[in-house]
Amino acid sequence: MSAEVTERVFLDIDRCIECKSCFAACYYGHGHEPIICYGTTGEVTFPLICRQCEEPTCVEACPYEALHKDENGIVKRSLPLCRGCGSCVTACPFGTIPPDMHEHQVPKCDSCEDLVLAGGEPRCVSVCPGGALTFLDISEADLEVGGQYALGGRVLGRNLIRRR
Amino acid sequence: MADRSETRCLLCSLCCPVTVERASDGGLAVDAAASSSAGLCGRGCSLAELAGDPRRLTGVRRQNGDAERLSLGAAAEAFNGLLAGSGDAPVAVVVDGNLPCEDIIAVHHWARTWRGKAVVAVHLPPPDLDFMEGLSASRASPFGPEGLASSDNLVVVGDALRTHPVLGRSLLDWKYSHPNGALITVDTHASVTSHFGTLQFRASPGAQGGALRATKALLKEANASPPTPGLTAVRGSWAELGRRLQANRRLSVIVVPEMTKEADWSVVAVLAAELAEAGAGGVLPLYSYGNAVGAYRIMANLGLHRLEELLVPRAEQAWSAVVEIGCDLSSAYPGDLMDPLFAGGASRIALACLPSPSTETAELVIGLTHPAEYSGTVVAGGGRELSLGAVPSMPGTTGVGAFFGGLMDGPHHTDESAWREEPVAGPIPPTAGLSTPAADGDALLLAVGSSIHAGDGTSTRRASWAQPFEGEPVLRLAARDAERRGLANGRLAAVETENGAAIMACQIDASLPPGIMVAPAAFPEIRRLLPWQLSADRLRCPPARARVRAATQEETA
Repeated sequence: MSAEVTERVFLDIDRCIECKSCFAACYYGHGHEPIICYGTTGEVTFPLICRQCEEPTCVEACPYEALHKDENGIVKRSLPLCRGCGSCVTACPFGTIPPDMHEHQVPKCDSCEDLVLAGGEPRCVSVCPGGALTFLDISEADLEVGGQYALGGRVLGRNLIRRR
Repeated sequence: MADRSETRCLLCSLCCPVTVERASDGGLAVDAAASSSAGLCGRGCSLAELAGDPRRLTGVRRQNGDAERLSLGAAAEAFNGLLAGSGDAPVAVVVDGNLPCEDIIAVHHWARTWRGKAVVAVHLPPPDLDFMEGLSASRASPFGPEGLASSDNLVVVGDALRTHPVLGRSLLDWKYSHPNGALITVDTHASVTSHFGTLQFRASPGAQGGALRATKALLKEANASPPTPGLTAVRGSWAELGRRLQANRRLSVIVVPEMTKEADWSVVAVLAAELAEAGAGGVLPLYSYGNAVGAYRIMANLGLHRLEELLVPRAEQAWSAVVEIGCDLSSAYPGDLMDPLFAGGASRIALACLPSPSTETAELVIGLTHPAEYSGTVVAGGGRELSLGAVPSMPGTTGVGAFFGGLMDGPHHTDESAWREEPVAGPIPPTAGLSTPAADGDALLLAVGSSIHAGDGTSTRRASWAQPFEGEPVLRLAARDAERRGLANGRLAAVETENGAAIMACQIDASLPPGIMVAPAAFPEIRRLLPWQLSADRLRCPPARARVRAATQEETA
């Protein structure tokens, strides 16, 4: 039975305290796979989390058909098919797929589909101590009306990373 | 005893509620408790992995040449046997302050009955200890994070969000719900917390106390000209601060006592208390130990010693044995600082849950329960008394209270007033802070706290998730400092201080001012570089003057 997951992980960069708790929760929840990447702008480092794109370029780029979008709208990786070539890493326009191989394969966020389908939230969201990560079913246009900005997709900033 | 229990994470003084559950395969699952408003931070995630670490010490290991494994049942006999060989010479017992209150008291009772020659010291991070003493002397009323909401302005000394990430939600909720309030940050560099400061002040090491004094002057009079040596306004100005404080006077102070940033945290505590009193607010101290307050109260109320009192060279008989309970002194401090403990060839006994440099050199090692398995009481920051639940401990390990209780002939009385009564410390003499501008070509090396590792790193350094970020010590420095020395991101630097040398990878950090370099305090190789200063009753750690250059090929080979 499919139940499309329409929520996505959003980051309010004005609440991110760079503690890496999201990484730790994800790592222990996914068999010690280092999935979450980090980006830096100026002095601020923040997590880059898969957007589960409608038309994912990583799926298109994979020469081994190891990536696919499942019936719930989540882009997933097939362990036996992945050769760790890194094409998806290059193809992702948002830098959310880690460049380092893990046991010869590319770690990939699945939005904690196991928890989400059971009514929960992704692990990174539920542990975030600053309340920076949220799991929202909301369009980017609505966010802008609400006075927030979508930066590079799912990264939000209040007054464009103006924390003061 | 239940297989699932609610307890507290002791890896910082916020002491978040967590659930622990022993799985049928012996593993331990740790999760945020349902009652928790915040999730499990990275350190909390480390708890479960380390509790189930395959290197956990179980049973008893006697090593005098070849190692000999004994059952836990033989621990008491082996322990007594080793101490009995010491004759009439005194025994030093160092008990970790992050153990539950009942455990610390059990050690104290055993020491009193054991031929009267055991001297017990409590190990607490020196900045935590000094700060608590200062608060006691000032009779300030510390508060917990729940008290933030009633403040109009907050002064944060140190990198609170990095060292105590779970404070993030309440601090940021406060910030965004008080648009007219000022979040005033004071730190040695543009730390994570200072990014959020409405007014941001940079303090040279040793000038943080001065920032509190200056703020208090502005609270009394907006036009007061604050003393500014070592203090720079990075965002906002002193004049703006004065105006804000006059408009909204209610002010509280959050302080993270961190080594190397100040010489004397007891004085900073007094200044913080005075400022909070003037602002009709309170002081929220953020310690690195969950049971810092409980251990401090027990130590003061029962007359236990500070660790540094045992480190002063003894005129009388040398220690015949040193018993380390739940702490790893060899990682926390440089070896020469510990020399007086072992000067007379003292035997070393370690009760520990994981292998460490201390257990490697101990003649007797006894497997101890892990902090996630503790049971008893702790007193967290703000004086909150909290109960620790307990899941069945790993087979072959023992709790401290159970072990020392078993060594005594009869039951002992645990007097709860020992951790409930706030001791009153004597007046704190003023001190000149650290004013240590680096000489030409030198830099000031600070050892700072982290959101990944707790305290001296004993509990968290091995966590596998942390390896990509802080698996080894990295030297962070300003771009200009790196350029002057021919260093770049990832290049190896040779760092020399008067106390030692180390090779570290470099990381250029735009948040650092030139002349200030930073390394994580959770690594023994960093702590050994620092100029620890021991007086009769104080152990303090100013920043180190460091000579930093690109490492040669021979050094990196």
